[in-house]
Amino acid sequence: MVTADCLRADHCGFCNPSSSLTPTVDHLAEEGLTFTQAIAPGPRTPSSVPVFFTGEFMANDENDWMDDWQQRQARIRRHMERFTHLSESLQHNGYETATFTANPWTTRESSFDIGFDHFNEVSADSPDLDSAYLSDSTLFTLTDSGIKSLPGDPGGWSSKKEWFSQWPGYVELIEDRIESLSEPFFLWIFILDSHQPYITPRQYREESSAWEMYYSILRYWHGKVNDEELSDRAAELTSQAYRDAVRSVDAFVETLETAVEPYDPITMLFADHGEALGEHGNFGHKRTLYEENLRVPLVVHNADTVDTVDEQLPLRSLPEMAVDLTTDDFDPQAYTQQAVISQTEANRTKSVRTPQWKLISEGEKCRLFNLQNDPEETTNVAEMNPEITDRLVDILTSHTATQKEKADVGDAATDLLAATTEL
Amino acid sequence: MRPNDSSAPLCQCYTSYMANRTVFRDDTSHPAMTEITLPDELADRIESRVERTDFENTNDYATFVLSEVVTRVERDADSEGRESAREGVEARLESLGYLEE
Repeated sequence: MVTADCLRADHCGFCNPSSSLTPTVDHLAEEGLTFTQAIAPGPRTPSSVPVFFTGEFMANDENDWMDDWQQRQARIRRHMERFTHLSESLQHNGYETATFTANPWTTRESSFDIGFDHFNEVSADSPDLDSAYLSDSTLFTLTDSGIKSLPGDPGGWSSKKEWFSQWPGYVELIEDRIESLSEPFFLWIFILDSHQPYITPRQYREESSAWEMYYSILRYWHGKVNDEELSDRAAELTSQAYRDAVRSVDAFVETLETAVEPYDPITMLFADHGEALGEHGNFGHKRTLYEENLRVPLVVHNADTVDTVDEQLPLRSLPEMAVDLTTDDFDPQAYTQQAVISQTEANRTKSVRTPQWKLISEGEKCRLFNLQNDPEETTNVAEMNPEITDRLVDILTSHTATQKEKADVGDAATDLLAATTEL
Repeated sequence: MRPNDSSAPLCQCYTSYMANRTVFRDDTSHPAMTEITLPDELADRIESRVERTDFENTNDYATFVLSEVVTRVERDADSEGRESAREGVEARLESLGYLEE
């Protein structure tokens, strides 16, 4: 199972025929099962991955603690300790389980290691691997070797080693792990290569020179720090750097497919969320619930099914779907839904999406978009469609009530455990 | 299914000999399911809660509750040592733009 951070659906050829960035992924899609309307449960890793790894939304929390990263991490940890992980279900079914995960929200501290026989955090300070494996780029090697004052280091590269997280640096560790696993095995690889800043190894860059790539990064961070809009030129450089990053993701998939070929596995490939490239005035993945943030590619290869599913699939169904893939009970349509809910971290903004409509709710404010006529979500048509708005609001209200009920069950379980401990 | 029935792998904490209701039903579409029973009175109370939510039926609600409790009990024995957070994580999150809200 491969998760590519921030990989947009419309940058994959099987979702957008005008894109030629992902020939390997498209080949897998042609031979396998594709979901063209897969929807992430949240627009960023902390609002998406804990959900698609457990099948449960995170509990509502009205406290304003978003400024404290440790509390955000603790919230993820509480969630991951409440619910059964996909890795646990497969481990329970006899699978040897392993992961290489590069995103810092998916660490031992957030309890993502539960259910894994082999947990490998890919980071500069990882307890599992030497930081030299983070990347094979020359600039990274220099920064990693302790040279703090590189010539031309206005971005402070030495404090940003995560920027260089690139699969070619650690792919040999993945290959070694694959060889050591006993069948059946479950391997989850979570790569950061398409996460901003888009630093792509030279061999996979077709559009950006090194100068353009690093310049786009500096312009992006300068604009972010100073709250300045990117110029058209800087925006285009950022977009082309992203496209090169997508090419690198595709090259990873090709390398991985070669490594696992002797085992004839089922491969699942998807993104945890999307990425904005100027839409709605945004770049990157902010806490917004537009299509560029939520729509993700999803391919299932070698599952004895060749099909394209155009119905909506909530990524939250992933644990159920993945477990069913290991049995004879896999039905691609079983996980689709007419109304798919997504929400931002802390659940302040929620959306419900149908094939035609999307309602985005933030407090008392609701916006309705007609996805058929206005796929870029530019015009709020809530006042013109009060019945549809009310119906979608009702769905969100029911969802909120369900989350409250589940939170009450969680509180009761906490009390029960506390009482048991006291005994 | 009786309390001492060795074929009941999921929930043996409470079953009644009378007025029971099947909660999990063996079903060809869900071959991995196991049948257990609940007292009607408890099943009715669950049904009244289900009506307020997106749970599709009593089975889904009972599965959620049991899954959470069993998972939490299992976790409780293995939760030590997870409270600490390495300083390096903050730098990683910051460099990836997660702390600049």
